[in-house]
Amino acid sequence: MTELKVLVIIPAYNEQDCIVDTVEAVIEAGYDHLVVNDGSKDATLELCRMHGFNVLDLKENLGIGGAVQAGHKYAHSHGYEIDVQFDGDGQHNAECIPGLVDAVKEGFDLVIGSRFLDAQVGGFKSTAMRRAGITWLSGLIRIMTKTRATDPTSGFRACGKRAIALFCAEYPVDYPEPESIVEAVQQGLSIKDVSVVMNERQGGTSSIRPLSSVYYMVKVTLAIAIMALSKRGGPQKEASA
Amino acid sequence: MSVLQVIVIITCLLFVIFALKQVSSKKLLLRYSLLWLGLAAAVILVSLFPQPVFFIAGLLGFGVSSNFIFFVALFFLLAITLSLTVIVSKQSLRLKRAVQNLALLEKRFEELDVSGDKECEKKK
Repeated sequence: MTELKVLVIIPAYNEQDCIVDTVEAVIEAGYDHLVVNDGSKDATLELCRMHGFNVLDLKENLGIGGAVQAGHKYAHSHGYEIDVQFDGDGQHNAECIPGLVDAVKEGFDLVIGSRFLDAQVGGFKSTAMRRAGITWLSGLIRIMTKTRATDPTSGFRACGKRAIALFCAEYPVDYPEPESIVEAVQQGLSIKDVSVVMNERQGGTSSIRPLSSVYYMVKVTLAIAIMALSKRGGPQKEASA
Repeated sequence: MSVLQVIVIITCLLFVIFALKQVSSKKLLLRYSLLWLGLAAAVILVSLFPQPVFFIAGLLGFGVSSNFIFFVALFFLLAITLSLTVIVSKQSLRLKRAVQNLALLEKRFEELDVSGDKECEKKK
C-alpha cells in the first residue's frame, strides 16, 4: 500500500511561549507540518521563521474556524490525503497522532481524539465546569445526530479526503469543533473517537474554546440545534459576499 | 388573550423562524442572529405579560403606555443599528487590508517571475 501523505495543521494565535516546542514535537514524530499563524500580535511568526517552520501567515485574525479551514485548503491543494489538527498551545500530544491517522486509514472520515473515551486514561481532563459543558454537548449531539462523540470540543482530530473536501467548502466560524461533527454526520461522513492524552496548557492564554460561560453554552447549543434540524442536500458553498 | 396579543406573538414566531432559516442556510451568522432572537423573545414576553410594562410606563411618566414601548423598541433598534455599523466598519478595514495584501503578493510573484526569466537569460 502506498504511503498516504499526512499533514499536521497547527493553528496558532499568540503562542510564542510554546509554538517552538509544539512544532518540534510534530517534526520529531515524523510528520509534515503547517503552522497557520492566525494574525498573532506577539513573536509567534518571528519564532517560526527563525526556526524555518512551514508557515501559512494569515495577516488577519480569523479565529480557530478560519485558521483551521485555511489549513485544510492548503492540505487539499498540496495533495495531502490525511490532515491532523494539532493545537499550537502544547495541549496535544504528538505521540497520539499515529493513533488518529491509523483510524483514518481504516476508513473513517473524521477521527476525534477524545480525553473521555477511556476512563482509565490519565492526562489533563479539564475543569469540572468544562467537563459538565462537554457532557451536555456530547449528549446534545447524540440526540440530534445519533452519533457518539465523547469529546466534541476536542481540536485534536484527523480528517480523511472526504472530510478535507467538505471542510474546504464549508467550515463553521464560531464553534467549529462541535458544529463540524454535526455537519460531517449530515453529509454522511463516518466519525470515530480515539483515546488520547492531553496536557495542561503550557503557556499563554486560551482563546479558542471558552467553555466556562453559560452564555457560550447557550450559543453552542443553539448553533448545533439549528444545524442539526435544517434539511440540507449536498455541501453548500459558503454564501458569497 | 386578546386578538392583538395573538397577532404579535405569531408575527414574532414567524420572524424567529425566518431568522433561523437564514442562519441554517448560512446567509446569517449565528452571532448576529442572537440580537434578533433576543428582541423577538422580549416582544413575546411583553405581549404575554403586559402589566409590568404598563406599570413601569406610568412610573416613568409616560402618558400612554404604548409610547413607552415604542421608546424602548426604538432605543433597542438604535443600539442594534449602531453595533451593525461598527461591524461594517471593521469589515471594511479588514477588506481593505486583504485587498492591499493580495495586490502586494501578486506583485511579488510578478517580480519573482521577471527575475526568474532574467536568471534563465544569463544562463543561456
